[in-house]
Amino acid sequence: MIEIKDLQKHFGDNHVLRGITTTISEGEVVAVIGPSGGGKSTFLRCLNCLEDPDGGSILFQGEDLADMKVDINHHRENIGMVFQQFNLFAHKNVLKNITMAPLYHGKKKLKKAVFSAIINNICALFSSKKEKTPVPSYRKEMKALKEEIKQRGLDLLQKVGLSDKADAYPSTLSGGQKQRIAIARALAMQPKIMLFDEPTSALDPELVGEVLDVIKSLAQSGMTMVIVTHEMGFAREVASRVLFIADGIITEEGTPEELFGNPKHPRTKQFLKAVL
Amino acid sequence: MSKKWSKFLDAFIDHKMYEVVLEGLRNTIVIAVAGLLIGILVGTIIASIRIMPKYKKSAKILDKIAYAYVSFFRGTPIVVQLLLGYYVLFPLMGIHLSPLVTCILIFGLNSSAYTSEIMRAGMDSVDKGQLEAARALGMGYWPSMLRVVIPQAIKNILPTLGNEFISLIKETSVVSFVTAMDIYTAFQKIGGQNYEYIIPYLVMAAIYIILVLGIGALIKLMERSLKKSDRN
Repeated sequence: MIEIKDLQKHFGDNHVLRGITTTISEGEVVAVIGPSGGGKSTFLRCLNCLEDPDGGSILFQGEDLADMKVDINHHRENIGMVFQQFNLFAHKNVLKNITMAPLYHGKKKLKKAVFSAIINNICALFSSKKEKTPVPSYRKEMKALKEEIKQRGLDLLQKVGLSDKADAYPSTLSGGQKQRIAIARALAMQPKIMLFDEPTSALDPELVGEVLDVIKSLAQSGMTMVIVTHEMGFAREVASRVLFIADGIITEEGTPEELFGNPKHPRTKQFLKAVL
Repeated sequence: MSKKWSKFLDAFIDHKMYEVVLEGLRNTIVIAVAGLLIGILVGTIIASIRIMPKYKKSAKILDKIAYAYVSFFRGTPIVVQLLLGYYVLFPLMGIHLSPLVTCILIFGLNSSAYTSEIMRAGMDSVDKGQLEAARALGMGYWPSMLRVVIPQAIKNILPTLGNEFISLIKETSVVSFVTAMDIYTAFQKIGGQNYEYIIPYLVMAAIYIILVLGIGALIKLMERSLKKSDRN
């Protein structure tokens, strides 16, 4: 689904990613672990170009995202992202947080469809070859779209167990609730792949469980996911593959059993000894 | 004193000068409100340009232009800008604008330079993650700014925008330089009726104060309604 080849990233003189190559297949749950400052988060943020890669390629849907000419917004619609700091829109209530982006994209597509139908009909007036196409009623379609997206939002809220919070503002929620809403917001775009950037690192210990449960059930539903995490137990449980990134390269990778049970690289051993 | 009062009332009511005052009051408010709206609109665009990521050459050039624009309008007095606009620039371009429209335009552009700096501070105060979250959902830079960053920025800078509005109201007192009618010109005329300036100028000051206090109260109300999302 995503093919990453020789990914490079510099922050000034700091060479953060030194050539990362890996392929993420459909349905795979990839956990990324490693020491702080090793490039885990940067790697993840490069996948949807929140950080622009300096070199290498990221093949997604047949296009190279590392190429600056690619319409990145189009691809981001299919890449959901969940942040460490939740980043819920503070001025919108929970339901609007979830429905804002789908509404925006739906509206844009609808406008485009109406516009191209009108243009087509104008062309048809002058040429006998072209058939007239019916112009969709903007108002009617928009109403249906709004209804559909709202329903999708409510369903997602139910899925993350927060149906009663639809009208609440983010400032009134706990960290765990915020992160579950953030997951619902990303899912509302119906992405093909989900990226999690340390989704539980900013949470109180007692709130970590509820967020991990949501991610777990998402993994079971077959969603392709890349999760940067410090929760080793969680990585071991849900991941189908674990990447150990240190000093800007994938030092070691394998199934959780291999990597946690029998690490080969000394750097991995040292890290796991310190955190387990 | 009572004689002065009766002179003032004579001019104000019997000579129908209240009509002039009302016209002046209207113009003052129209110039300030329209100026502020233009200022917010243009200022927001300038601020967005200035905090835009500078990958592209076009973004860098736009930033330079915006900087020059802000420098000009902050670096020259409003009177100079009014005179340049009314007597030099617009006539040279062959455009004939009434004094009132000229004032609205010049005050709008002048205010946009200040508003852009206020807005930039407001946008900086919005957490970077907000823009990132919107971008990660596939929304472009401008739609993200418009829907996510700018609404929050405006909430943060509302008190400062209120100050900008108040100073606009007060600055309009120089529009007589380009023959526009405002509160100052109206009371100047009343005084000129019988060379009695004390009362007219006192009343003028009172009107300005009432205007400014009223705006202050209005801003407080708006702030309260915008704080809805902060309430616990």
